[in-house]
Amino acid sequence: MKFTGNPDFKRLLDEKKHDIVQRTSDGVQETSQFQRLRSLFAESRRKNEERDFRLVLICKKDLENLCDNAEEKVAELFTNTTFLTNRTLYVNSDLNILNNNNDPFPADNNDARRYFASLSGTEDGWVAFHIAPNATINYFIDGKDYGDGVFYTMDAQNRYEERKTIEDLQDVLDEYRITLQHQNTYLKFFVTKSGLRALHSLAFAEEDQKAFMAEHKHLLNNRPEELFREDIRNYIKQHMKVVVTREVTLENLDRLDIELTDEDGRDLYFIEIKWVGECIAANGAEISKTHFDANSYIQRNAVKQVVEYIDQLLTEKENIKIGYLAVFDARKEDLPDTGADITSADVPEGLRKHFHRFVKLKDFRVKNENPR
Amino acid sequence: MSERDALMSANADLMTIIAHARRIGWDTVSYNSIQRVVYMMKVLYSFNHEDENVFNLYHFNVSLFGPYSELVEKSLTFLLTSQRLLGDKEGDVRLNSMDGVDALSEDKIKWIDTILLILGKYGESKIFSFIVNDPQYEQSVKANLSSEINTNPENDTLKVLNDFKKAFEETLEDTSSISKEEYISLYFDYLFSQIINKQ
Repeated sequence: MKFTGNPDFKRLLDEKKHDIVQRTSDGVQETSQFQRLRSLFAESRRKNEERDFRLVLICKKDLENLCDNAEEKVAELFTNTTFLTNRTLYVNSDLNILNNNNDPFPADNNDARRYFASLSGTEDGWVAFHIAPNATINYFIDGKDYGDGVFYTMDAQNRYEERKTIEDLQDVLDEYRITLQHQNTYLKFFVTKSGLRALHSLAFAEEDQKAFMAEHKHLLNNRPEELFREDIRNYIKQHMKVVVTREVTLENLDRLDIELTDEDGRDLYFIEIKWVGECIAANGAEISKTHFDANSYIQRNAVKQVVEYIDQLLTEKENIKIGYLAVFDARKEDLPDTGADITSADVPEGLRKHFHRFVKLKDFRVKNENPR
Repeated sequence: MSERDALMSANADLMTIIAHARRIGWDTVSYNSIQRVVYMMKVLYSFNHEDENVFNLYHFNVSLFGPYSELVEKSLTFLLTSQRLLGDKEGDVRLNSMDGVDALSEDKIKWIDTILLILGKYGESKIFSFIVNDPQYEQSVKANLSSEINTNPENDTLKVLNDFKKAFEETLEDTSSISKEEYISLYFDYLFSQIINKQ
């Protein structure tokens, strides 16, 4: 992370300079009272879920004199019947309701923001907090809209908050399977047509080139496990509200391919990545084939590896929930799932107690339908 | 500092942190969050303090769930055993006594508030994301360091934060209205943008 000498960051600062100055010198946002109240509103909304939006206004003077037990008062406010049945509430420094109404907010987002800003732009100096069901807080001071952060937008934050959580991992991976059918996704895994032509002339020149290329369009690039791991990892990161790290080292120096934790870092999940098929060798002139096919004897090694990791994590007293085995299937033929016949008998007896934490994900089929 | 003194000092720190977290609506705080918050307080301290780091008694190592200090763990155990804190099976603790709360220097209390108020904008659930994006922690994970995380004034987090501040000073005509605390707040705003936009 480098900021000085970074033209993009400099440009960003130039664009935001007015905003930065306003935020740091308006006499409100930098105060602990404002920051505390903003946190309290967000936390209270998380504790008291609701589908409706609320607008809470407090005048600057009352905000400055915010009561010392504001956490209790905000908690009371959020369960107050008047609060529950009105969209707009004016409160004082003790978070007592001074005035309220249930007038609908403008339906258009931009109109609504302008309306809230106008309420804060009066001589009385109201600070307006707009509280969303997902606990994001948009606020308005002196007629100005402060929904967005300096470096992020409220829309981006809302999109992030709507992402799926770790419990939905398998649903997200089902969606990922669909993207694997898109040409712009799968092309990166396979040797290009020009690469196949080069391979043909280097090592298979005696064969008919056209037939060779048709027969080997399923040939993966070298080290495909890295490509698969990065692709699935990026997909999870972009679509889920989880923290993803890669190749975490256990105390015994084994490495987890992908480690996932829920957003607040309590529960641990990991994914071990394997692949089946053929890839081009590092020298670009040979073909390597996995020994890992639909044969359950071979499959057992991968299952055992995952369950051993689970055992190791439990030994290290980590809060491991599930260890997943993900197999990318790039085989030439359409064959049964590589994990179709996995049972606890595939795991050494001493590790079977962890088998319920093992999940073999349905194979991730990758086919080079339209090579380029 | 003797082991006993360190534990007593940590007890007062943790009681104060948990009490002040309640003031921003965090009625309970998880064990892991306490470790992470104390780490943040330590690693960022020298950005706007000239004096010796008042969190120097904590020594952190990398774990799968973020930085881990044995002293924090010992103190939590002590406070739970003595029922100054109450715990639940989810690993969250809540205040059950005011004993030790604010039994610290004013400066330390102010710093605790500064960090909590910055984190409060995003909520407790986002702390872990900030930790894994923390330059010093990231560096320690990459290097697979089992030794203590470097939290001295030359740590990577402070280098990045100082570079961040310098970029503001080089780009904006007048940065006099931006306090050190606000630079930290702006830096977290930037980190949050990275978390939600790209990851």
